[in-house]
Amino acid sequence: MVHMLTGDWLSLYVLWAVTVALIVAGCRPITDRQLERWAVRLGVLVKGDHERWARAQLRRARAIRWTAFALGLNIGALPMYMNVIDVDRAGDFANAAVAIAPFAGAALGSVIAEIALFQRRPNRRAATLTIRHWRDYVDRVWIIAIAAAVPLSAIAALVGSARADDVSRLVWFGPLVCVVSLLAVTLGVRIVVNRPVVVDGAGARRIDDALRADGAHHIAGAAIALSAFALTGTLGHTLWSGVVAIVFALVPFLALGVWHGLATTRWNVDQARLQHA
Amino acid sequence: MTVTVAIEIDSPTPPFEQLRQQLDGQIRAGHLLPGDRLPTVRQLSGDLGIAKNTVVRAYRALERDGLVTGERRRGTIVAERIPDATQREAEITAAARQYVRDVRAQGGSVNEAVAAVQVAFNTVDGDPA
Repeated sequence: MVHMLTGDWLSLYVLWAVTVALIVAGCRPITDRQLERWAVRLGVLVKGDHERWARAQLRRARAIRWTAFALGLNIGALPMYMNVIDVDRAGDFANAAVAIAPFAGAALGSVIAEIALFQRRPNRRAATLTIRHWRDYVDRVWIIAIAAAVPLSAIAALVGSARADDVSRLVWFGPLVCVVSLLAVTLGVRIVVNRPVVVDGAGARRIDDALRADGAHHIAGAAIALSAFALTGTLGHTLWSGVVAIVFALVPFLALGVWHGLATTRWNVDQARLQHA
Repeated sequence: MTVTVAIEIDSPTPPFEQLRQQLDGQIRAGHLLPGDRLPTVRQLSGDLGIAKNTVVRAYRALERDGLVTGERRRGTIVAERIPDATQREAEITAAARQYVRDVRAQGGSVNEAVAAVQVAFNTVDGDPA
């Protein structure tokens, strides 16, 4: 029993506590205040019959996203697990692929959340003739930023691989993750746009659009964090020298801020639609 | 204004015809203007829960009627010149007035005139029954 109170075990207890807290918090019902803030942020009125539906959709999406992030955290903590299982092999798991798992989990969870939204089709099937476009739901600046990370990381990897040291093999992991991130955001936004509208009535359609915009922002936010983490990792290997490396090491934290900022940013689908109509 | 279309699954009218009629009506009523793009086949079929071919069929029928044009890059667009329905209606009204004058000259009643029109519609070659 005493050996389960070592520092390695205590780290795991904290991790498990965070994991459980994330999953439980993600699965909790959406409160009135949370719903109100969400509605204000996305410029919609959530009332009457639509309220229950919107709450259910938001709760389901949040539960999936947070659970995926929590699982990613645990995969990212594989070296911690190995410290208590086989300490000699812990170093084998301390690599970039494992470190990136929380962000990858978040991105994957955001995409799955959009696929898993529950929809029941009524007998009277109605549709608007409004054309849905991905720019209705997320600012293209973020998508361009995610796309730009691919060539940037590739250039950094080329420069890094030219260096004759032991990190040269690892630098190509960054561009690969940036590509995965771009694919995730492309697929996720396609799902957001192409998911059928099965609700009838102008109010319900606005809520449906707001749910899409919310989902697209979560996907873009997670993908930005993933790309930034991968890009700065590659740049860190390439420019591994003193102050520059420290600056780059801080960028993932900035990416976390951007992720949170994107996921809570104000967005109005109708206004976005008008701007590029 | 948001233009909507709806499909009644229980209706005896086929979904393709329901869609065609509604889009025809929206275009002729001016709710959809020349140059307006219609949703992609994928989007509309997904939203209405009908087969893609059903939407394609409705779009093709509208294209045949000259109400929309299909462009490879831009999708399906409301035609710049909508065939004038009022002109057609005016011609039918003029023909009806002439017929009424002829019936009156023969001393015929409204009922006799309507009955004769119905018979003519069912018997004259080339006319729809």
